[in-house]
Amino acid sequence: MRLPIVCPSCENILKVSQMKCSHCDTAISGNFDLPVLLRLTQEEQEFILNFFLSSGSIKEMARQADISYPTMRNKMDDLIEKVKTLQTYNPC
Amino acid sequence: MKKLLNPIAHFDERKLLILGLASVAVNLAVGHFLGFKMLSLLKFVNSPAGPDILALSALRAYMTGIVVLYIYGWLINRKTRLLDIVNTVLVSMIPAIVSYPIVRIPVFERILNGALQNPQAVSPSDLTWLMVFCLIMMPFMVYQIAILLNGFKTSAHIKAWYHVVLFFVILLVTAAFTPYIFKL
Repeated sequence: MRLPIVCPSCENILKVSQMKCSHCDTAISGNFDLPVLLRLTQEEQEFILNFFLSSGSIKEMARQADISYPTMRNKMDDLIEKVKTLQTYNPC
Repeated sequence: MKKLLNPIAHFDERKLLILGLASVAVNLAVGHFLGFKMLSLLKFVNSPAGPDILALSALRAYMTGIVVLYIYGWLINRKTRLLDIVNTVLVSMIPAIVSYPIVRIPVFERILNGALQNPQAVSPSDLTWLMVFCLIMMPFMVYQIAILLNGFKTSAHIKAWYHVVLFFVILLVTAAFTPYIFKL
């Protein structure tokens, strides 16, 4: 099941209000921010995972996605900018 | 279609470089065979000059375009690679090279020469042929500009509209001044 990160009503970023142990049912309530990586879209998270699995090679990722190196690098730059913005406005 | 409009975004850089270098060779050969002198990325003229002058003029046009666009791309985005700009410029010339022989179709050549020598003496039927010529040439030129712009956008990762406007200004100024960089 995918973790929802955006409010379906007002489209703001959701926060974590409860975490629960699946073994003993202990629950912790609070108001926790989602980590930066979890605030990215599913596609962006997969992009970062692919980058990791390609040993950090943009060239290899471009080859796998059948696009050119500069296109893949531009995607990476856009994602870096987004992560920087998320870190600046809501560090976690 | 998307791939054809922006080959720099979709095809492997080494294949594009080989294609681009091959297109330079074809450009030099066809330019010599048909008597065209490449003054800039956007301008060709008839010329009786020898193959060495035609080749130097074409290389000057390529080099100027590459250097100017690379500097502009580098100023916008330090990650801009020379290889991507080289591929953009070389590949963008392919539509222009393909359109070379159209200018040498006898009816167009006669009317174009006549219109250049005496613009006021162009007859209505010649004017119709001129319009047909422009309609045929237009897609080649639009395609060339599309490859140049899309390739540059991918290479320098530009998004702002004023970068695109400045791109066209720089392209036109470069095209205008390239023939005067050194005399051939």
